[in-house]
Amino acid sequence: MMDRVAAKQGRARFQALCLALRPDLLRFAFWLCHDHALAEDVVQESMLRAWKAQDSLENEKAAKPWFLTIVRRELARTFERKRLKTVNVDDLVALEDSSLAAGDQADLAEMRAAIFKLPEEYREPLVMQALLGYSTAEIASELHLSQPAVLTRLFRARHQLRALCGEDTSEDPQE
Amino acid sequence: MMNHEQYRRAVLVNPLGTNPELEAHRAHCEHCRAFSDRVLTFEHRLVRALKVTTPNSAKILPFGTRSAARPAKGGRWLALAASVAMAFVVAAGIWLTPRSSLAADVVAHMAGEPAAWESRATLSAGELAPVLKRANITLDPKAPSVSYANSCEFRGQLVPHLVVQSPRGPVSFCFQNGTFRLP
Repeated sequence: MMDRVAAKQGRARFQALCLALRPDLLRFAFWLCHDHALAEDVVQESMLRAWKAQDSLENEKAAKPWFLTIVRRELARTFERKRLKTVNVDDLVALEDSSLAAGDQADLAEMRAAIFKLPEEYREPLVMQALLGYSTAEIASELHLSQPAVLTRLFRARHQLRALCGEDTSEDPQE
Repeated sequence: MMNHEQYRRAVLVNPLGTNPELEAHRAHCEHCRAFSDRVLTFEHRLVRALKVTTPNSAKILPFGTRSAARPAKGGRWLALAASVAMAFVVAAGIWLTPRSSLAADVVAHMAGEPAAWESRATLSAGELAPVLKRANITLDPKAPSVSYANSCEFRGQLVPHLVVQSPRGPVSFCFQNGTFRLP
């Protein structure tokens, strides 16, 4: 009886965890795959995998990186299974694609277009840091990189992004 | 002591990061302070841009708790009874539904008018007008050319039967709006 109650509570806690993390996981997947529908599919599939493997999550505080790892693997599987269509970002902007400009001001649309123009190796750590609040050490661990490599990528990401958005980068340090 | 380049590099790597060395440099260097303020403003824009709206479906999980899905005691019998009742309703529906579907009737009607497909020439407005008038409909002036128009009896109604020449070939239209009946 006690076991059943504990299991029920555990499931409810896991659901609450999923609900809390899902929006950011969706955003993370979207910034990597450029496609809202695909991001939803990937996160949905990841949630199912997480649900089945919830016993392997020993510490709830580690839930965010645990979920993120599952989403990254699911994205990699999706990319392996099918060659995703490539989208010209300039075309998207010209068409005012909803994923770039929905209900937001023009400067955000411009920023979003610029983010998509970043190489994925710079975009991913930037999203992990700026959106998900990851530390350099956590990004290094997730992406299997050294910390200096992560620092370099974050520096280049912001430097390129600022240039793409027309910011004055003349005072930025040289590499 | 940190130099300008090291400070700016650290700010670009993590604009929200802070440590005593950074603070000390920021406190005495006006240029670097202005630089980090600009980077911070940019960072706030970046974070807002990254927070794209997520759909409402983000609140729906692909699983539920087993307790929520499990029917109450006695609910299984109720579910079984409901299933049996539903089966009767579906069976009765199938039995009472006319055998001839709308799609089948349309295909049968088209087969009875093979001439409709033969002509490709655009009808004049004068040839088209009586059929449209009888049906009380108008055609968008920008619509593709119509090569066939006839008022046909279809399921007890007089309906306009048009063939439109689309870029992919002829397309048949039968408009059934139920507002006009055979005399």
